[in-house]
Amino acid sequence: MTAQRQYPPLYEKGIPVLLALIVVLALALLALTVLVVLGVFPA
Amino acid sequence: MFAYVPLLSFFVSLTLTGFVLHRWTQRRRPHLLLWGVGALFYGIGGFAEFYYGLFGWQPLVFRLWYLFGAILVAAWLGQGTAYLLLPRQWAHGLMTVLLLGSLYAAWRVFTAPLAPDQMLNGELSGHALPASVRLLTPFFNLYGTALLVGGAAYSAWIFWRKRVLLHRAIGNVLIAFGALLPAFGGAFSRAGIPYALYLGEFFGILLIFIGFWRATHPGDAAANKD
Repeated sequence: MTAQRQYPPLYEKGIPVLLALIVVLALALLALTVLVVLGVFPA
Repeated sequence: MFAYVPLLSFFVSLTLTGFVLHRWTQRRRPHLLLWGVGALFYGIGGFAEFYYGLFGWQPLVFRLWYLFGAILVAAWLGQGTAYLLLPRQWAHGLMTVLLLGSLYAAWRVFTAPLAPDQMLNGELSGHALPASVRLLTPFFNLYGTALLVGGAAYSAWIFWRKRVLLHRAIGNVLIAFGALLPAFGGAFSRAGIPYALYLGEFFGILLIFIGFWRATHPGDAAANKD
């Protein structure tokens, strides 16, 4: 039976947290862009 | 002092351009060529901002800045990711649309009347152009940022899920963050925070450069724990 491969602990936990943060920031940016296109936020 | 921040962005962009295009000469992969062109556009934008900070208003420099630095840079970098991750036929189709869109944007930017007194905070800003031209920018940036950030985050996720190529997972996380920073810098700049755009651009290209370097140099991270 082969053990599941692991990254070092810092990266094992850190990478998904950072990716979640990137997704949140990207969604915020998308919302901002929509507001700019709609003219709510200045272009 | 902040007038020199775009100069730093310019140098980092040119270094990245040289690094990526050198890699392209060795491998001849289209995504490397497009990333190299995108990094060059980034450098043109940085140089125009530095020029404006040092020498003041110059219409041609402004138009070059808006076309390459504000409209095209993210889209061309993102197009590189399209060639890396999407089926080749899709990437070709998107490339055709991007080329036509870029030509249209160039025509609009170079034929628009300019109002330099409309710029904010003593920085280059799109407010010198009519709103009808500025409205083009979010579409290019949305396309490019979605591909660049989405592609990098997706790649990092795949590497993490398989627990392989740690250096590429790290590099892609850095690239995704770096690609987001100029967009947020621009938003904060519009909200009245001085030099937010210039700082966002500098830290953005720095993170992209470090991320690209990390992704292409395994180093210690290659020794994944089994």
